[in-house]
Amino acid sequence: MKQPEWYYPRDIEEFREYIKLDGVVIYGGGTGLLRREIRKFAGFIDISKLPLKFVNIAGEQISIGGRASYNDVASEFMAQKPNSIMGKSLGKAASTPLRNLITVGGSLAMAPIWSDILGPLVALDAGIELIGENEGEFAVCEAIRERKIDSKTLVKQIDFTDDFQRSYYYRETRTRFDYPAFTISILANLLSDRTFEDVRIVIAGDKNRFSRLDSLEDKLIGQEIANLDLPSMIESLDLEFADKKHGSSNYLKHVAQIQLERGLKKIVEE
Amino acid sequence: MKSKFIINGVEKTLEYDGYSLLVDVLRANGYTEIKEGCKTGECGACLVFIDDVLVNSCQVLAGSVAGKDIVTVKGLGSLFEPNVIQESFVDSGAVQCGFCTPGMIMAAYNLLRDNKDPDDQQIKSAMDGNLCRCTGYVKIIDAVKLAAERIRENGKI
Repeated sequence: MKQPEWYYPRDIEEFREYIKLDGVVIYGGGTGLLRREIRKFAGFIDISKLPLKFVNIAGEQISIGGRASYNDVASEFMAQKPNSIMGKSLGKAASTPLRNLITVGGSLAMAPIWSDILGPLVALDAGIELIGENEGEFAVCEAIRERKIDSKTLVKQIDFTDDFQRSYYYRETRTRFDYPAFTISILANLLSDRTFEDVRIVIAGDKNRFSRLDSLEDKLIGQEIANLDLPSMIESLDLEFADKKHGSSNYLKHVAQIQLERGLKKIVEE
Repeated sequence: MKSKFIINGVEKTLEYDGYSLLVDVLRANGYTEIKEGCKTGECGACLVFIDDVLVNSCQVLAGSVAGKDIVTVKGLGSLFEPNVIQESFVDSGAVQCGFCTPGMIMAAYNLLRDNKDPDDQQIKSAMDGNLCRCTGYVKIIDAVKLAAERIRENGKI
């Protein structure tokens, strides 16, 4: 029976050599890869020896290595920056042992519609550094939309500034362990008079894969939530969902509208 | 392919198909304390520690673990010298069919080594990757609490 080759690069240069080989695939956490037909791959490039398993939080400046697991990120943020959306979102995904396997890079490479990392990173305007075929630095939303992270491209790290005092994260699931039908990420800074100084809102899992709700953000800035007709503002948003196991497109739209309203109220009340 | 592994502190050289899951390689080599449940990472019956990190061995290709340190539930304690968590599961009657028990004990160990006084919610969160097909969750939570109490008294896990 045909056997795969396993490669264990110790640095990026060695990785670059292996990734040129035909039929090889990057092996990070492995959870996404195992959902594919793995016997078609001639080789696996195990990236566990690359120095990409780090979470650096220097005040508002954040860098996260592509090999960092969801639990690495969640535990570091909960300890150092508990108000950040990163700890709240990644700490809720999957289960404890799976969060030890799922990596930031793999999650972005696979970018499943249920991903718990996509919404927060789009809201944070994160940048991503890629190595390999599509090498370069991109905005996360651009890298996802343009499918830059292909099987010959490695996520080296993501970088962003998180200067938000408040965050809210919601995942629409049927059970605790379920994949979310959609997620809502809200980041905000409020002035002392409780008006929005800055706010970012992203819904992931809609028909566009993810949507930054710029028009709603613009209407909120400079306003106090108590003075706004939130239901009407949210009703007028162009939100569209596909039918999913979680519910019909109309049902999901309705739930998303309600949860968005609750999220905005909650982030102000915090 | 052939690789060396350190399993429960003992170096072993195992021969295996390079596309194999760790759970299959370990079970084929006698480590049947690791249970094969869902094979999708949802039930937690196959939990092991790899380099001290708790993972589902059904979600890991064996080739990615070559040279690493693997601990199964038998690495925590034996029949003749059980770990305090294993004893507490027996004393609490937290074992029904026993299929989920190795994974439950591994998840409990992962919790209690860092938090020796967990509340109910922390226990439930720590066991969020484990399913009991007998639905015996109440006694499992009791067992974790009893183990925590004993660890606090004895000062060691």
